[in-house]
Amino acid sequence: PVTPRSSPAAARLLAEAQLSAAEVTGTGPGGRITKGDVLAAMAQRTPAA
Amino acid sequence: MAETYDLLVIGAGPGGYVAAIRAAQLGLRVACVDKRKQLGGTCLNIGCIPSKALLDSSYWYVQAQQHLASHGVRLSGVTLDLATLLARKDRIVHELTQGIAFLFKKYGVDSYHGVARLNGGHQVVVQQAEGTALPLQGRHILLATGSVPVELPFLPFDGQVVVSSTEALHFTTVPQHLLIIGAGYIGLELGSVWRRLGAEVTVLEALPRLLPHTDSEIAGELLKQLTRQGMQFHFQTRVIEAQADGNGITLVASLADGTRRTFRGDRVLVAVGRKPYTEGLGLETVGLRLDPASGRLAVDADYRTAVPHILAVGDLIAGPMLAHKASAEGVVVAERLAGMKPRVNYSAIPSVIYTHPEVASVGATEQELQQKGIRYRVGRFPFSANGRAKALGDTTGWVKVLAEEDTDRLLGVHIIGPQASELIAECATLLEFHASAEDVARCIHPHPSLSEVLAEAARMAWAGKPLHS
Repeated sequence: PVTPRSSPAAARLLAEAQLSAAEVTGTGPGGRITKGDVLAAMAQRTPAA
Repeated sequence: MAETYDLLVIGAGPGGYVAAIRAAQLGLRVACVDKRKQLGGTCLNIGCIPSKALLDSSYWYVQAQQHLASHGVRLSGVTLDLATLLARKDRIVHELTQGIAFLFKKYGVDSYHGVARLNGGHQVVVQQAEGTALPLQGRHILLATGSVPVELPFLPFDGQVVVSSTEALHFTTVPQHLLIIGAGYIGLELGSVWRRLGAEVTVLEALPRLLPHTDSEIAGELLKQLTRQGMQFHFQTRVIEAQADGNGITLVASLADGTRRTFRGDRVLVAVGRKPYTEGLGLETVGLRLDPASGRLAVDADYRTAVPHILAVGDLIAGPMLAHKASAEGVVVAERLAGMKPRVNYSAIPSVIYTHPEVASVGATEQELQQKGIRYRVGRFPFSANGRAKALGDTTGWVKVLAEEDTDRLLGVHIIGPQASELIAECATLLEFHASAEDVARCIHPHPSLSEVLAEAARMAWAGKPLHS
């Protein structure tokens, strides 16, 4: 499968959160990963304390 | 036997001519009918293009008079040659309309000059200028007949003293005192032109503010700037009567407190709005009519009217009456007929007012976000802190970015300032690609350029502070 590309802000967050693009569902045009998608994935991975 | 086309387009404005070209590019057999000899519709002939030509010429006149000296450019005198200014505008219009005729030839679009009338079923009759009625058949018929200025019942257009935007594009002398009814973009743009060329200009608006659909902060700043340029504004001033005489016209307006006030001018531009134009089109012959509530023609997602083989785009149907909106719909209609499935994103249609400073917007206003209960952050950055704007000597205004609180997604951008019309194009792209404010800040903008103001406003929306403030 083709890895969806991400936006610059999403790329920063992916790197900081040590997430791979494959772990995030992209909702942008053509499955592109938006910043909001990474924030949602981060929220899901780290349950609220 | 009438000639049969895959697509028969009625109207060669931005909706119709673009649909015709795109359909022809995709291999459909296409004809386009227009009552004007010059193609291009309202936008090219009596709208966008001539008004921009006048706005630019009048801008340079003011620059020469008032601003070149600050650049160290001294002129011994500046005079207005209105005839040349108008001729330049006409030449630009002519060249562009010829360009469409060239494109029609290039792509094999048959062009007919005459008034088209639906004649039931798939038939259209073109009443040609020389008197002959030419029947044509369309497997699909696209209505793109556009819009015309709204007339006030007590103030009918006479083309001389009481004029629409059309006549206000070619006054052969500068009016002494131009009254304008309506503080929408048409009134503000044409008012700017004649104010710059020396007319006294008074704008009468029934609503409490100018540009009701524009971000209120931005509209407020534009009002301040236009007032500074000498335009006079009267809000909550509803014109109710008019008395024309040999020397000009007197308008009677009702004010918010119920009192009346008169305004005297030698010309009045009625710019209260535009309405769909379907005169003589014969909608009734196919059982169609404009929706009484909206005044527009109802269409589905494929731009089909209630009669499935008859489609409509542009100013005839719902949505902002903008050339690029009509063209976007024209492209989508043509491509859908050819089996493609594109769509128009109505939430990312930019709008521009070509005053000075220019105003441009795309996406939601703060007011809309508040109404929808969406939590957002605002970033602003002024042109006065931008190197390129300083070099241009054009530092009025700012960029305002609205981003969603939780996701940082860009929801709207509103600009007042130099070249806002150009800067907004990037913003429309950003919205289409679901960019966040941080994305905008991280995209590398050339230095020095006005576009850095957008990046800084976005940075402020995202990080709470720009770099240069």
